[in-house]
Amino acid sequence: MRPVDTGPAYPVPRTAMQARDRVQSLIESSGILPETSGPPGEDVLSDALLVTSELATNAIRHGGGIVGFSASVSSDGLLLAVADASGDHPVTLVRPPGTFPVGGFGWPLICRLARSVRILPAQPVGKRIEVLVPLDGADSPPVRVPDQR
Amino acid sequence: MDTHHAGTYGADARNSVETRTEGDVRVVVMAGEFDMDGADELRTALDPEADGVARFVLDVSGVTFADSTALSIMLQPALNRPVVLAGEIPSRLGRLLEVTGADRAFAVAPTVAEAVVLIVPPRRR
Repeated sequence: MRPVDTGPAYPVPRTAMQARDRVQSLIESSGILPETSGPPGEDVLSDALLVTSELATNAIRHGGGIVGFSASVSSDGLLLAVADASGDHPVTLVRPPGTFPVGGFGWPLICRLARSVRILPAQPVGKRIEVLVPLDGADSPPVRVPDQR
Repeated sequence: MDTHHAGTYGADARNSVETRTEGDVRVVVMAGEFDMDGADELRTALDPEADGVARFVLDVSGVTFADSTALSIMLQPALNRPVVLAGEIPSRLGRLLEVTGADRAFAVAPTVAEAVVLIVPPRRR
């Protein structure tokens, strides 16, 4: 494990973009991405950045702001934890078929892309959401293969 | 402060939205990263209450990142009129559309010119 972003030298990101930038730098410098640039490398970074953005957005929009942030990369993938000061847990809204409601699908997206998700209480109030996002393409939902002609 | 990357710190977002009208088609060119911040321009451009707009064409070829907040904004006008994604869809955006199933909400065309005239069948419910 190569822990990063723990300690006073790294300020907590205040926006989704800052959180993504932090995670992108971390993954790129970890050496865990395949040498060849091509779709597989792009896909796994894509999922990690998406989950990061969704977690950060939820903490900011529903949790009153990001109060804690840590990210590390290991052979299991990206372990990301975002803490906010709200004790409310995320909920998945049931979407009526054929409709596209405004918002509300960040959380299902996180759950779909992450290999594991944990919600832990934070002290004195609030919660910490820990997710593991694979960086090796395993467990990813299948991507449609273009027709071979 | 972070020193990992060069970027416009202090700006709300790294994106641009350009809008133009071609008859009753509103063409919106999106470039950069779209998330909860700096989304006002996109919301205005994709206002589902826009008058005189029979179709939205979104040039998404320059989108380098979009999350579900951005996608929500893109989906709103799709409720009541065709929204056509134009240009080569970047892989990250394609991934988001596929994983969320939102790819079914949009028509696609290789270019803006084709998107403007594309015949879009009415959505079946």
